[in-house]
Amino acid sequence: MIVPPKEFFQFCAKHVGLLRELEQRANGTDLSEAEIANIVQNHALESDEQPTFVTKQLKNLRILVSTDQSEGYFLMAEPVRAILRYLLEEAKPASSETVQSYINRLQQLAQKLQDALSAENPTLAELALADTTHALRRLHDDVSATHVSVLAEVARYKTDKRPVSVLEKYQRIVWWMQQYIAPMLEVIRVDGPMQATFAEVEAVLEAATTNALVISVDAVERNLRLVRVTRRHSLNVFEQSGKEISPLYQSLARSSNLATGAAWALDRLRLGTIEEWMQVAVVGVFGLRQQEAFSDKAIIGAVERYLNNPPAPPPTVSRSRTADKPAAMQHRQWLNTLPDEIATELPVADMLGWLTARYPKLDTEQLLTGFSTLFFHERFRAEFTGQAIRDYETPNHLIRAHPVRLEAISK
Amino acid sequence: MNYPPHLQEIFEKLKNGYHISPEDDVLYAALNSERYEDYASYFAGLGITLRKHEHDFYFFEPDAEDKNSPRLAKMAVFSFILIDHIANTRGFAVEPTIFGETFTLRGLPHLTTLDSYRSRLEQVNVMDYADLREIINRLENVGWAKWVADDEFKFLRPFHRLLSKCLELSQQSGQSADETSPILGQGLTQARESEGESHA
Repeated sequence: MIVPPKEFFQFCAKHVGLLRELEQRANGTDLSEAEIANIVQNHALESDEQPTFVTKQLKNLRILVSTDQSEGYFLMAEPVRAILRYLLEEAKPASSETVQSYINRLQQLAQKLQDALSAENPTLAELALADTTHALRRLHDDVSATHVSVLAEVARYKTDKRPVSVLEKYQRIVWWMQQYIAPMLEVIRVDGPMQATFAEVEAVLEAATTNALVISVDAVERNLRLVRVTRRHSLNVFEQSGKEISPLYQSLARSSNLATGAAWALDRLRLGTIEEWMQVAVVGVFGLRQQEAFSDKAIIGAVERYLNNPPAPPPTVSRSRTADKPAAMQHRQWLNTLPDEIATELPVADMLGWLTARYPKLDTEQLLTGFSTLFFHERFRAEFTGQAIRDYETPNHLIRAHPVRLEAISK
Repeated sequence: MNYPPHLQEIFEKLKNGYHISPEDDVLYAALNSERYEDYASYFAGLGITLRKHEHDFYFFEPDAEDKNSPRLAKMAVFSFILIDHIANTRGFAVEPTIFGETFTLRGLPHLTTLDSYRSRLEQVNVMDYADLREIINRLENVGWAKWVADDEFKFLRPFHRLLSKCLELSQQSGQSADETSPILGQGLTQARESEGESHA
């Protein structure tokens, strides 16, 4: 049954959301009749058509095709999926195995074309050329799909705000690298199989352009251009894909390493002692250590003391002889003779009275020094008599005190 | 002797563990001049090594004893938790987030998200927001971070020293990823040239 293109495209244009959900829910696998009815029902709200009619149209227009005779499960037709992917830029990447299979196919076709040309068989030559065109177009389209997929994946990584760990993102990008990009580069590199095959196909086609009796030169030249375009396109696509994905890979690898290091450090802290951990995980920061060094404050204090107390010359000692005794020496001699002097008059009932009467010209300080010398002297005993306070006059003071009696200690 | 400019100010900063980065306009400009070797020679005479980091900041090289500080341990735990949270919980690239965002004290994940974070912090005696603020103050003192408002701070370029430590630890863990893209230098350019020649 032929699908009327106009009706097909009108239906598709009217039900973009429905088709997209069918494709996303199935994701290449089949859908049950009930699942299809449910999805159609959800989209019926925005449509003026009955859900049963829409479901019927999906089948009639061969958008959904039955997987078997029971008609219980349906697949979305591959051309519809392809056009959706193309329009919505949700293309699936081609694997290196797929590209390699095209290359192998091209190699076989080049050989068949050469054989047909040698045998001067125009039918086989035309068939081989047509298949070569088809293989080149498939290769070109799959390579384009890969590029679109890489761009979409990179954009998704950059805009995805879901809380997925960096490690998981890194693992996914590594998957992309390992599954699609790196093996493909192996295929298309200068010494890889694609370059060799393309050169071979090109040589066969160039040779065919001189054989106008067996094959259409126009068709050969179109294929020759297609070979060159496809080769250039493949190189460009994978170079661009590499440039798109490499920075992302490097960024994720670095973030993954940073996160691994941080997590490892935290785990080591959990398992070990803080002292061991510090030696491994802490980042040292310089600290100037000082031992027995003067602080700035101490140095400034020393300088200030020096500035405020300039050095003075040492005192000059007079070495000339003189008859006068120094006052301090005279006072010392008086104190030394005082015990012997008072001993002859003991007991003395009022020691301070004795001193002020005997030495009326001595000042207060000297008299009190004599008093304390006698009071604590080892040969004498001094004690208060219990008499009332008396006044004792010195040249510069009036002293008021209880009388103190002094007597010798008997041996 | 003809001393290089700002020698004393630079020494006063660096001797306390500070890292001079482009944030320190005048001092950074002085070090980032043709007289860098003069500074390095002068400090070498004092037995101190002046280092220029690959991310373009300057610091005095610490020795082994400079790790034995509880404050540095707190800074390390604080930073490791933040990096772990950014990468493993939020799923963001670490460096653009660390250096591109400002952080608020109350918005930090340390005390509010995982019990394991709290446990690690308790091991280094960090218990509450006051302790976190103290850590950020210390980060500011060494030039790794900077308060931009009462409750907001941002990380500065010298924080790369801690990121370098993370990379070092990642290597030690045996789980580090190769940061070199496996698809660079695959001979594509050569292929394109070859393709151009053949086309010509």
